[in-house]
Amino acid sequence: MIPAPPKQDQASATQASSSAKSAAPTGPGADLGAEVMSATTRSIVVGVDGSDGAAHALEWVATFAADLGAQVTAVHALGLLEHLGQYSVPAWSHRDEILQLLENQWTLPLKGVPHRCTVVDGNPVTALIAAAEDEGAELIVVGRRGSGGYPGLLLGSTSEALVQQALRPVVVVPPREVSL
Amino acid sequence: MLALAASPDRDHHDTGTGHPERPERVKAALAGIQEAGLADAVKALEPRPATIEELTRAHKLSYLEAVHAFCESGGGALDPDTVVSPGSWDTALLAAGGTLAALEELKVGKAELGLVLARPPGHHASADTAMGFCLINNVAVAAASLADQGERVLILDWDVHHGNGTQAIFYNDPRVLYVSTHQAPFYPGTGGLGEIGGPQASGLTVNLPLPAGATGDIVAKVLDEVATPVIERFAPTWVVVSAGFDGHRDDPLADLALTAGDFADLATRARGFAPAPGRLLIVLEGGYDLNALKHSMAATLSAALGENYRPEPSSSGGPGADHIEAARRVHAVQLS
Repeated sequence: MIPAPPKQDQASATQASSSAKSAAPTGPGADLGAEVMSATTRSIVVGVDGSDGAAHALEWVATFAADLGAQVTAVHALGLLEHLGQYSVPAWSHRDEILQLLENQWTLPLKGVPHRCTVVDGNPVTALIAAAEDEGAELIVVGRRGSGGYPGLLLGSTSEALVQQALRPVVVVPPREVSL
Repeated sequence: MLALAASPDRDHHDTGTGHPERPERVKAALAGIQEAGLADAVKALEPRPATIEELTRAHKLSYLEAVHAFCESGGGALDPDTVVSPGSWDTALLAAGGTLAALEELKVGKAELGLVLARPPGHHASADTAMGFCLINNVAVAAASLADQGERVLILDWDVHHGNGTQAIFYNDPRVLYVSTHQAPFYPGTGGLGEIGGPQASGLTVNLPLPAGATGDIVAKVLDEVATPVIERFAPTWVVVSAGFDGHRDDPLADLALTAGDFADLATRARGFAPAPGRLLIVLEGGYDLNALKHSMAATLSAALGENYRPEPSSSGGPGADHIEAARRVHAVQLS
């Protein structure tokens, strides 16, 4: 049911996304992904948190968005803990710093794909659902962390909560280590 | 007399190394009671867990069962901020039960003020979602209990973050008036001026968003000029405070510029909103700098009991005058 991501490391994925407009989707999940996303797909919302899982999801998005001409909105939900300690700037200006990270580093896999970045406050599930509504997105895409998930439990992860609550199709891209 | 519900010896809510919402917060708040010289005024209540029936006044049963099961299975991260351990569920039940135990003590006239040092905090938890360090909405459980007994409840939320969970639970409930001062834009992204309540409770949600750097004079003024007329018209029979101290200027998670003296000013107002002694309950929410929490708690309790202990003076001169005017325009329409 869930399209598998292409088998490639992050560095090669970034290069691939740059030229993705002229390349057909590759990898074992490509055909299934194309079925999920019809030719009318024009807007995709993807959750980004700077993790490797999110980067992997972006690689998956980049492949299909470029081919289908879809606009991508990369959303980062700014949580409570991100205001703490490791960042030496006041919380109110921290939002700008995170936005720069999102634009310049976290979304590198989207290079060459039309996209925009947005930082919103709050719970990632709520933020992604709201962004998808605002954009009229046909699809919401998130990565799944390689650890910290609790399969089978109602509240185990952002991706599980999103699948349960979203009224739009959701693609959950597995972490690299369990890729087919 | 101060009726105190706190269970530091039964606190098994482990959020992990480095997490700011930690058991030491309750100990800092208890130290604040000593600092204010109120130790002799304390009546310590026997902790008791809230029952499922009491919790379902504010939460969906399916949600409670899911959180319970998640904790029992070993815990983990419910969202990037909200971490639970196997002991979190029982600890959360004691926090919510503490609010009810304090209300029971107040109702029979055995105390002038109730204080619940709750862990985990609660005001971000909605009927069916845990977030922002919160599992059970302790204040909502207390307010719903009072409302079911025919009371009219003012919830005054001065945590630096908007209490999205509390607002959502009572958004269309005419028995409860929710007033929140909070930094904006900021987590959790809710609490805009236009959020004023549902069709059955229009005007009974009063959001007072303030900019980073706002000082105590701004918070006091917006309460006096915008919220107080609404509160007076509502005429609460009980006041429950979501007392977060993360608006303190030393707090690592936020950027308001309040001092312990400002929290004394807020507590004085809360005491004034209560219709009589024994109708005021203060429940701990946020506050992550331990010294700021201790001093602010000391000043708050002193003022709430009509005394005057101020380890720091009130603050003034910060931004936010335009925010007051914007809020005044919105709620003047509601009052008219």
